[in-house]
Amino acid sequence: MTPSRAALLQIRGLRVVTPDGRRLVDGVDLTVSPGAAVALAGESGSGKSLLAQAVLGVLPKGLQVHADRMRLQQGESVVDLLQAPPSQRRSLLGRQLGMVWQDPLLALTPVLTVGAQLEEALRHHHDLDKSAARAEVSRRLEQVGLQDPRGAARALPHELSGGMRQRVTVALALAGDPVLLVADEPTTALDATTQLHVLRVLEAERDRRGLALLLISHDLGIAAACTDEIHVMYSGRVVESGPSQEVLSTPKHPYTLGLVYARKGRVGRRFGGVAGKVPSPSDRPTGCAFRVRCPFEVAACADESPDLVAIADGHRIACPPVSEGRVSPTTWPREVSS
Amino acid sequence: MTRQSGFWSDSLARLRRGRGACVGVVWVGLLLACAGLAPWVANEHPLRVAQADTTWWPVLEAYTSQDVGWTGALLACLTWVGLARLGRARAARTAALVVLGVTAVIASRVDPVNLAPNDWSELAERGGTRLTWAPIRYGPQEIDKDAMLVGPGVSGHPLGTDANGRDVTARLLHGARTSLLVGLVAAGTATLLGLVIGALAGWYRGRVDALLSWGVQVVACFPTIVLVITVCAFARPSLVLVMLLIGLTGWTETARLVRGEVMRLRELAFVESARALGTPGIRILVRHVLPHAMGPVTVQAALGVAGAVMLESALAFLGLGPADTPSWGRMLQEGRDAQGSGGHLVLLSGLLVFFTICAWNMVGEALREATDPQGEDVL
Amino acid sequence: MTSMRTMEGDAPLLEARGVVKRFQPRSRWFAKRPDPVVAVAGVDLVVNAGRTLGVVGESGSGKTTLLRSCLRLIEPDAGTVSLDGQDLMGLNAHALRQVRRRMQLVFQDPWASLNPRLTVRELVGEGITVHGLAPASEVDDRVASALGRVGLDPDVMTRRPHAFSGGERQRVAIARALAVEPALLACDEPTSALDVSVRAQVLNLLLELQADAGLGLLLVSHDLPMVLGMSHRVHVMYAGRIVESAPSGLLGDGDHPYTRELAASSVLGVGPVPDPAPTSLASPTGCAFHGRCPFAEDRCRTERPELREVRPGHRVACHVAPLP
Repeated sequence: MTPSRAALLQIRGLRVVTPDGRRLVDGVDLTVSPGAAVALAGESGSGKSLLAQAVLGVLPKGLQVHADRMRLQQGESVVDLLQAPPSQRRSLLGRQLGMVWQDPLLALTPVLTVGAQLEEALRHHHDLDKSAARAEVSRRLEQVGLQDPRGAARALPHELSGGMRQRVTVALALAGDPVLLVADEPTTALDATTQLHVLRVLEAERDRRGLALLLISHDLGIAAACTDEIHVMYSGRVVESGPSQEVLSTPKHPYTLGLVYARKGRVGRRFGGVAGKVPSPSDRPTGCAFRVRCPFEVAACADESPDLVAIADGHRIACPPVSEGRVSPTTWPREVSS
Repeated sequence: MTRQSGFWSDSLARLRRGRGACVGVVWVGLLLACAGLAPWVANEHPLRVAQADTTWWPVLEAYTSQDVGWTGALLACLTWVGLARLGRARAARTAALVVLGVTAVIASRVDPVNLAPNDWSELAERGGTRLTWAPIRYGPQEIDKDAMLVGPGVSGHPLGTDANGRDVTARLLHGARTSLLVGLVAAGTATLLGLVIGALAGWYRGRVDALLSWGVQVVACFPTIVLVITVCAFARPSLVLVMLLIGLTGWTETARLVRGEVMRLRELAFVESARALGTPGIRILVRHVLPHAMGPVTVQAALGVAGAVMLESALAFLGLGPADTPSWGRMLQEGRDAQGSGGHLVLLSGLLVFFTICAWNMVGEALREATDPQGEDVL
Repeated sequence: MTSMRTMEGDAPLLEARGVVKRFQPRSRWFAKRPDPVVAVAGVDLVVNAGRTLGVVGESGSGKTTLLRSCLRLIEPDAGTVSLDGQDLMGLNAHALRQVRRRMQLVFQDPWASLNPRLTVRELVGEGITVHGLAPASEVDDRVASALGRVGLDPDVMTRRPHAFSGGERQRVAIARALAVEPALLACDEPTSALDVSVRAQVLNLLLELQADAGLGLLLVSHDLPMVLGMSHRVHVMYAGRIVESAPSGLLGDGDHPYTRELAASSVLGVGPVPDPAPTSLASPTGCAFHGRCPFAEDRCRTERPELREVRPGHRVACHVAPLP
């Protein structure tokens, strides 16, 4: 995928390491172009949330970030996210980088009305007097799809439904008109039908502002739904990346294949899934981390951790047996044993 | 294979890292050593008599059940710490309990001999006899008529004597016993009572809670010192009564704490899971809920010991404590009564009370830090 | 066809009629006391031995409250529930505890539902001890056998929950429920908190256990495809009422507009994001769903539809059904 303009967010070789040397994120390359929507999909222990936190600069204490390159570029100005001092990183939040988390109750103060919080954020980022800010609050709440913006502005967070709260969180994240929105499991706590609302809001905001989106989800469907490009992560590494629709409809890496198969639900007498469990960083198998659960494992898989290799235009996988043509999995071959 | 981490082992690890804990625990350990070894440090009888054909230990002959108890407690503690240090935590607990059990048995059967003090000079002159004395040749009750209210540095009395001619060092050492005993028993009673009442109030809620909480408020509003003084003024109390009084008035903090914790914990999923299993309520309360509340309770208990020591010293200072028991508060009062010449009494006993209360407070604060879950996988 | 499970089977194991549960929201100072929220507004359900009844609905539909009411973990305000013909409502606390043996519950969150301080042996053995099902010397054997049934190595008995992954913890929770040999196993979102790739392990385990031991399963979830795959019969729940009920093989996309919406949103991923329905507004009369229903008529606003049979065994609470 060749970017036509300079990449907005460029990451090369990102590693997030614990004090005792375990790699929670083990060498990830990621590029987000302006206005593009990129998804990170994976299960627990994949490192996708840590990656987002590393970009935003909100990693838990004790974890170290290393990378060959991690920078945010907007036109002429370039910010080296690795070298920048904490004060500079902080000033980026809200202004260039917006964040939306899974639990809207964590982002919203329970004692202030929603309108007051949004107003505060708007006045912090823009030069607005009180009445202009109020009007802007109404306008933005309507943009995120709240039907009664004034009524909603007067409400406290716990008085709104989950979907409405999450939409408020999106409005809050966009208060500073950032260029990149990082959304970590924004729909996970919501019902299936409400999820659609929030995804729609994200799409609309992208159209309206040319906002770039980094969407993180454990749900492949959500991840692929409103993004152009998807990276599937397993145990700290990207195992497959490519155009979202293509990866979801014709997955090539065995792990992605297993996930897609698991989404189908019951086939025949049993439910589809992958045997074994997601390894913790200290139990990671040598070589390819997925090999102990992989039905297509060959002896060479234990040698070294595979790199991403292109198999089609823009579609890359980290699986030598598949990329070298020795194995051509189209369906998940074996039944799951518990 | 990751180290099996549990709530207490993690807390202990954090506790060891805190400096306040170290100082506090060391001080308390010293007090325990004083209490356990008091008869070996200050004794009017020789420790050992070595004659031509026999060797016998007067100190052990005269060992009262109290002495046995304290020495046993000291040994149990040393066993526990020693084995725990070597990594054998479970063995440490069992061994300590065994030592305590043996102590209890011996204490109930001991029959101290009342040795008269004058025998020793005659015995010493007899040939072939060697006497080994304690560093201080006076017991806590022994009166030295030649040295009434003398300051420190006088031969035989490194820290001086009190108005009755009793050696200060000996009395301070035995005062440590009173301090520890009253502190631990009173705080223990208060903690136990508070635990039970708070747990019942928090678990059953409704009318039971309303009644118990009302009781908590009534007792909490009571001015403890006034109550205790009143009782003591009517009847010269024994040590046991003093301990019980302090315990019966100091439980309200713990009760409130436990009630809050229990009310929070009973809403958690694993409690509902136990109910769905058909587990009776009391069993859920005791086996599932209370263990999770023990962190704050332990902290409160440590602070409670500090309070109990304070209260006991105050009572003794006011002259309301038990008559014969050596107590630092008592010595403080005697020192004050002696005005000019009692300075060493006031200073030494006062400092000991002060340091002891500080030490227990430090232990309590350190426990609070250690058991406070900060971003850990604790409820 | 083995994927089409039907709800015949034996005599009813769990039978609930007219279950109602209301909650009183707290009123603010000086404000008027708000009306009670009706979480479950009169629900009937039947679970047969060896069969699975699935109740699917979103959060707020009342499905979790319904489950807990049927098991009397919360007290319903009205209705009758009987297990094997024995009325549960009239039991005193002691008798209820004994009956609990026969109806066990697997919770949604495997992290929260297992006491982190206890070992697996204590957790799985608790039910055995509490109900006196075996002398103390045999408890370990029973625990080992329960662990074996869920595919865990009996050696894990000495470990504590934090040493396990989510899927393994859920299996410990199932072993804990199985140890008392229940007749009914109620599952509240048993796989929602687990990684997608391991959900099948737990689901296949439940299927196996039902086949081996003839367990009746009451499954509650928001995941329609999963419920369809697991159940013989499915109830679709919305706003405290059952709006559609059919054998799972015959449900198809559903005949109630809400079921259609659920079915559509569960196949997200390939293709554009479908149009979401407008946000629903609460209505005191009429059909609760009419605010977001694309097929709503005037009648729907004023008259609440009752469940009626549109096909043999297939009931829908909708004025407009059967839908095109």
